[in-house]
Amino acid sequence: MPYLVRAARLEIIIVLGGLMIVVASKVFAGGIGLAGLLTVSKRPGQSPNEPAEFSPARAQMLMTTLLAAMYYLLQVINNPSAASLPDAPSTLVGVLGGSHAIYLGGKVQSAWDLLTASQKKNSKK
Amino acid sequence: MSENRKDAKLIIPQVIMVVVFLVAAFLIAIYGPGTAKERLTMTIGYALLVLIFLFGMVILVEIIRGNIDLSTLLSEDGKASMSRFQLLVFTFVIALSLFLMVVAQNGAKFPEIPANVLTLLGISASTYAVSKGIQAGSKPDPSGPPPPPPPPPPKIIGGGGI
Repeated sequence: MPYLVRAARLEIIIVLGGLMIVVASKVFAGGIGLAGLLTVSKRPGQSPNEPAEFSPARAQMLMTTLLAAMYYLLQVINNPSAASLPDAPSTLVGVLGGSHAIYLGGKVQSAWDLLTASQKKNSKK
Repeated sequence: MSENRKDAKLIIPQVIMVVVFLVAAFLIAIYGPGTAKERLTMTIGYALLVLIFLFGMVILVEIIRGNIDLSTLLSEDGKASMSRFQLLVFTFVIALSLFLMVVAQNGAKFPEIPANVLTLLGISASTYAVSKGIQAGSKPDPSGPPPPPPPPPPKIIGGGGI
């Protein structure tokens, strides 16, 4: 049985680690596009040559996500032999929930703008 | 024609691999140590391990060769999506954490997952779902307003003979 456990561990390292390395390398090499991650979608009337607007809601969510992920991963690295995954503090959950709510609020706002602009365009026709 | 040959060349090593592992499993089942029940457990365990490994390797190799396209993994409507990106980050962090703990504990027990961590993942996944909903709702109707009815054909009064 110990050989089976050892083989299973090796398999997880190869498959899961390989998948993570492939996806991460594709993100860094540009194979998975990150263009427009921090910008707002263009409105219907906006010209294609106009530069896309920077989105603070997306920027704050990116920062919160990366900070929360790093914090959690460090907790696991510091105590890997615990019986359960480290508990995420309620403050962290609250902060993350707030950050996502801000992002979704911004998205609703831009969707509303898009919809009203297209309705105006249609009514003019 | 050359495509078929290429496919056949790829299939042969896969079939050989499966046959070799089936023979190995059979040998473990017949000549392995322990009682019959233990040997059966070992055989099923190794067979599942090999099957999962082969599936995983096929997916990995196809991703590396470019046959499974990941270029739009984080894209929506031609630009990168923040909700997809954060979901990817959280999935990788939780998976990596679980993996680190299982390795550190020498595979003794699957670690428990606290409720707050599940909430964290839930927030992340529901943000993606809600974002998808907003995006689908904001798309203007592609058909647009209904076109005006065509004008009625002119009435021909009297004979139109030449």
